[in-house]
Amino acid sequence: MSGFRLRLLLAVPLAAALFVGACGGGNSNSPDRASGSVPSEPRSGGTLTLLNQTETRSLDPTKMQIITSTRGDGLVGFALYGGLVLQDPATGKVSMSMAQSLDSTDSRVWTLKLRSGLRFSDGTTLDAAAVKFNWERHAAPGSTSSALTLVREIVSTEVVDPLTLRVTLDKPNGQWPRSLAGYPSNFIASPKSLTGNPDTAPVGAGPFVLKDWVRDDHMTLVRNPSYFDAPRPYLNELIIRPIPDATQRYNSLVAGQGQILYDSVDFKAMATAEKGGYKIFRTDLGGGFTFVLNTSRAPMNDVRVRQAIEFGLDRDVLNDLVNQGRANIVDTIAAPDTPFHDPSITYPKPDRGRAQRLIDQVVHDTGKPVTFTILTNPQNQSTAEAIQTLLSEIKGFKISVSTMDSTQATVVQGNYDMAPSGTFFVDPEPKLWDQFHSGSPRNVTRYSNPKVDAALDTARSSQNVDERRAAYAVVQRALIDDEPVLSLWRLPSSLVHDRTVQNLHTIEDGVLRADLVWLSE
Amino acid sequence: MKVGGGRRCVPRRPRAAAMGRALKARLLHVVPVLFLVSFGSMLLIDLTPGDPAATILGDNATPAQIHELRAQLGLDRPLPVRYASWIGNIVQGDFGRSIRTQQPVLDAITERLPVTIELALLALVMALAVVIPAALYTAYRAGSRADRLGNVVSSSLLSLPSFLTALLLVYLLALRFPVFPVTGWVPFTDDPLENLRSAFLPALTLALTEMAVLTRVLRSDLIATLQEDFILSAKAKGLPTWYVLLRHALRPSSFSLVTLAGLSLGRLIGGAVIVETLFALPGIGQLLVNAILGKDAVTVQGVVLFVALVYVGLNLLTDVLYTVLDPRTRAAKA
Repeated sequence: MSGFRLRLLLAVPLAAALFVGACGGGNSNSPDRASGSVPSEPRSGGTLTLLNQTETRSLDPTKMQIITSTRGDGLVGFALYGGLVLQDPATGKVSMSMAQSLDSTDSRVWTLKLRSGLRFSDGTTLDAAAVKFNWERHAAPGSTSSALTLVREIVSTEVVDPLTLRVTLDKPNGQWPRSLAGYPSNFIASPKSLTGNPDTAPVGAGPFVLKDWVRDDHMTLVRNPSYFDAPRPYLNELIIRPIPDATQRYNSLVAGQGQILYDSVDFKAMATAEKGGYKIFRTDLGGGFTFVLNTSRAPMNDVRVRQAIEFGLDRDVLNDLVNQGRANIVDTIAAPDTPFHDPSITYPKPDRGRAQRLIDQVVHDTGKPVTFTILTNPQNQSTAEAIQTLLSEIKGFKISVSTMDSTQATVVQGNYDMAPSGTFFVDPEPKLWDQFHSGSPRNVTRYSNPKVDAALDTARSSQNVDERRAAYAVVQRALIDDEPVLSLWRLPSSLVHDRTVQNLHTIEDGVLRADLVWLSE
Repeated sequence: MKVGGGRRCVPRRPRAAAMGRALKARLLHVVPVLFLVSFGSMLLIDLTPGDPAATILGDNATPAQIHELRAQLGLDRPLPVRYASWIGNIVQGDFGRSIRTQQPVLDAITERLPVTIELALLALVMALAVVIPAALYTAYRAGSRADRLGNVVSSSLLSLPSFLTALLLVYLLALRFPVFPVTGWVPFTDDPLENLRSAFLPALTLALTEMAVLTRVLRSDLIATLQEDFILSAKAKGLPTWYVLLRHALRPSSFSLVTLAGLSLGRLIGGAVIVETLFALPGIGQLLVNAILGKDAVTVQGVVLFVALVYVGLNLLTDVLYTVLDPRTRAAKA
């Protein structure tokens, strides 16, 4: 075959491919896509494409996870159903949304008053009976709802009038609205629609309505014209696309296939995005990324071992090794500039000598080295191995690392010594109660301290900020002294976006309020 | 029966009857294969650490909730009981419901099948469009500069992992020169041109690896065929080179190519897992990855069974294709 004919044979398919590519729309790949000046007033219209790392499993509120940014449930749940109350992560303030008020004089009997005129997108009324129906569904026998512990606090609900529901709790809980804000019981679906399949035909009263959902590909939500908070939402359409690979998610943003992406903290990716000219909307939270220690079994049942880990680990060095120094080290439990932050209650500085003395004591008492395994998942393997390396410099420690796809079940069952976890909160309630109260089923460290239990109960039941502040001071001091968790660094949740996206606000730990977002073009 | 010249006359049997017997024999082998792969996949999922109920419920699940969900999903039953129950449903055409999403598994597979089939076919067509001319040329010019260059290129392609190929293609053809989209899928029925655009890069990623393997195999077979006497005869008759290559050399050299292409197609349909994940394509590969990560044994088994059926079907097709390509195989079977 002649050279010319061969070149022709190869050129034809290449030309065809380029023709196909050229005929399609081009891609815009600049973060400065906003060509002119940004309008001062919100602009209605447009389609926002959000690139998420995962996809919600179900649109049924009883099958949704707690309202968190790390899964799609919070974003989609709020878009479809709105929320009775909303917690602002910047201030910790719980504000009314579809509820007009949620009050109690004794922290035990709460009166929920709904706004008038609320309608589901199928035309039916969102009233007190609908709220009662939804909450009873969460609490039904056999329910595995993530809101179960919350709704099971409810002893009775009484429809006082179409807009008023009286809720009686089994125990005083002054922070009950805050808990409600964080669970999918905050999402009220049309009772009529719940007899069908909420995954194909969800009906809520939120800012958007489901148009279509192709699993593992995209979910399209369109503006709900009957949303109570007109003229919001400003967007005509919200498209959510799950792209599991972080690099490809960022590449898709650069290529103009979306205007905003969610990242659950990849420090390197965020640095790349900032360098690329994109804006990052960060939601800073209290607590942080931690490793939980199983205080119910040796060697972590010995506080000296836990304290030795705390003193023996230099977080700055660990941060350099794992995050190239980009993370904010945790030095207090509550984040700075939050109501319960006390700058005098801080984690101790690294002290290798003290760590060694503690371990020497333990070795002397037990007659053997302190042996434990750090259980980890692939995402945190480098951190676990770095901890192993750093702590192994202390004589008497014998540490191994074991990696598995998901550590959750093993941790919940208590078959671990040390495992990655997180304590992220806007307000310490309910997270600190859930994680450290000895009566909590979510207390995976099995930590038990009657003084802490009493303080957590006080902080939960009270509506008084000063009383709560005093209680959380007790809790924070005890947690730092007893070390049931090894706290490492803050993990802000981040929304990376181009300059056309305006007016970003979040709820809870970084869930986007899609009703407030607008596009400058 | 003997006829003149003492030659033995073998009675002619219809081709269809011979093929029918071959098919029946093959189908008998299918059952144990399907049993092995489906039970094996269930066993492997069961043995890996983790709990599907815990994964579904998330980090804030309590032990009581996990226990309750396990009971609801039947996960507390012994493995053989779960497997027998699943087989009983399968023979009735019920592949069960996804543990994660409660969507019927068969629905989930059929929803995603068009994406994976299109990707696989496109990749194979792209590969063959390059393989056949490239192998013909390099075999004809064996030892030449072009042949050596072809070897280097195919070695390079073989040594590149597919995720790296994918990211390089994305960088070049989606970011640096934005011709194609980075991720996503547009169904053919929505917009055929956009569909081809969205399929091009993932299909090319898959095709590049196949090209490397198939070119080498076809080239080797062609080189051997080109030494045959009948090729010399064809040349001696004065037939053009291209005619000799295409009409006389290609067909008898195609058996390995057909076998490998069939296996490739099966593998591609089985789930181009890395490519579908990187390009965020809603295909069988993504379904399988999410099912494995979520310990969704019902979906994993359903997909594995389906893929096994596809493999078996493609193997049968390959055998049929052999008989078309080579009349000697028909006579051998007869």
